[in-house]
Amino acid sequence: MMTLLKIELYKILKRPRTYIGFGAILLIVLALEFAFFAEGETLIGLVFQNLDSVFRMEGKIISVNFLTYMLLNVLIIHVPILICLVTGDIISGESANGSLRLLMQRPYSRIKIYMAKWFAGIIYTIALVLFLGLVSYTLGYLLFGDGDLIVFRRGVHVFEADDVQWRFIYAFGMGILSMMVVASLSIMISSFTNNSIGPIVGTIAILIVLNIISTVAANVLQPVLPYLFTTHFIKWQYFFDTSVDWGAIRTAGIVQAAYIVLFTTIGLINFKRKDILT
Amino acid sequence: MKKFILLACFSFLFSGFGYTQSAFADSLMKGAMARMKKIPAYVCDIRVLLDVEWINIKERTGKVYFYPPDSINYEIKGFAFLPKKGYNSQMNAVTEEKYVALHLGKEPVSDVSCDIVKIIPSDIESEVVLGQFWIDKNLNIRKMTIITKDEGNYSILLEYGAEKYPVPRKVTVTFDIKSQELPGAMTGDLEDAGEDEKPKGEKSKGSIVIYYSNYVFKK
Repeated sequence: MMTLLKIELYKILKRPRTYIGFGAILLIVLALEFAFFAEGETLIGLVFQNLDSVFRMEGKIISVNFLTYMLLNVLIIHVPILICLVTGDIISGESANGSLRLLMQRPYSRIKIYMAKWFAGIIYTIALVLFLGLVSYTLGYLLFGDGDLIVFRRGVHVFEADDVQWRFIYAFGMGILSMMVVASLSIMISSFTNNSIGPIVGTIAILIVLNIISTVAANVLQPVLPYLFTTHFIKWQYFFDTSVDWGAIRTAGIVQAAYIVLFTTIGLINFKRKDILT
Repeated sequence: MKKFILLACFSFLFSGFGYTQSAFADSLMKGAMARMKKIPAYVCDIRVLLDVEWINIKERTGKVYFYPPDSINYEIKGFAFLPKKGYNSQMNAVTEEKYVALHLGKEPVSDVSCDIVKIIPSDIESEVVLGQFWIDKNLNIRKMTIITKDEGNYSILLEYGAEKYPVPRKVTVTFDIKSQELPGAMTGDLEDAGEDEKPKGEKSKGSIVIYYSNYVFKK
């Protein structure tokens, strides 16, 4: 299994598209952090317009913690697309170019091959999210330094600098779990097709449709929303409430873990039965 | 003719009474101001507690540096919401321009009997529309309420300790505040705020309590 996993990781590392995700994240982080470095005070001035007439605000508003929090929002919009680029291609890409057939001739069960691909996809996903955290924190620290975190979510929450590390660790953990759902979904779709584009576009289309349903038809589909995995993609924000709603976080964790198991099981069953003709 | 004389007498009496009241109120105000102006530069420790329904922030501690007549610098650990102006700069803002002072009787503030002085700025363009001060027998201002054109209305309650200058040990600033109205895309709040949230832009009361201790006066 470890040999298979190493092979799959090697294949991921050798593909140029793997680095598109890291490059895109680097660009997003650089753009946002330098934008805040140059125009941050003006941008924040708009946010604080109402408060500025009442309070004298002492202390740093834009800090590494504030920027990292803002960049975590990138997770829901951009990172799933970047994950699909690699994980959506992980089976169908090989199926398209014929190397999957060769792989099947090796003395490994289909379950092991699928799981090795799945683990490789998940490792890539985790690496991408951690890269986002590492780059945004390092650059943010160099440009803005440490400071309290101000969060605008159901009002204004101000967290002391030494009270945010654990929140970020949990938030990135929850972000990784959400992205694991995306990876599992795209690997599952990848097992159904024989071309690279289908799973990538399919996964992105599913995410867009579910996100639109979650926002536009929120009132009509209220009973269904807790069961959609996209609903829980933003639950990492709950770690930045003054009193953390652990119940909601636990539910989000269970729902997303269930989807990971469901997508992986479906993908696995399909892969076992799959006729590999190309 | 009799009626005219009677009316003239009443007018004279009441105008005189009004003048006395105004002079007394003015003397109280000036006395309190004079006492405040004697406060030398100082540094002291502060604890700041904010009570606004939709702002969550823990107690902040730090130091405050006062330089006469009304300059204040804060040195706070981390980020803090503080009153827009210090209590003495509020007084200066009201009394540095021409004003009319009226004595409105007595009223206790925190069980201390105080004279109530209403201040009406003479300048129609003045930012402060109206001010009311509660001054005790030692000429300490125990409470003030300020109504402004653009900066809202606020009340400041002052409690004093045993310092030799009229510096407070506790100041409570109460003010009107509108709830925050910001699009989620700007703030990163990606989730609907929920049904139990107050309507956006609604006015509510807020307060900041500042505890002052360990005064060190500079000579």
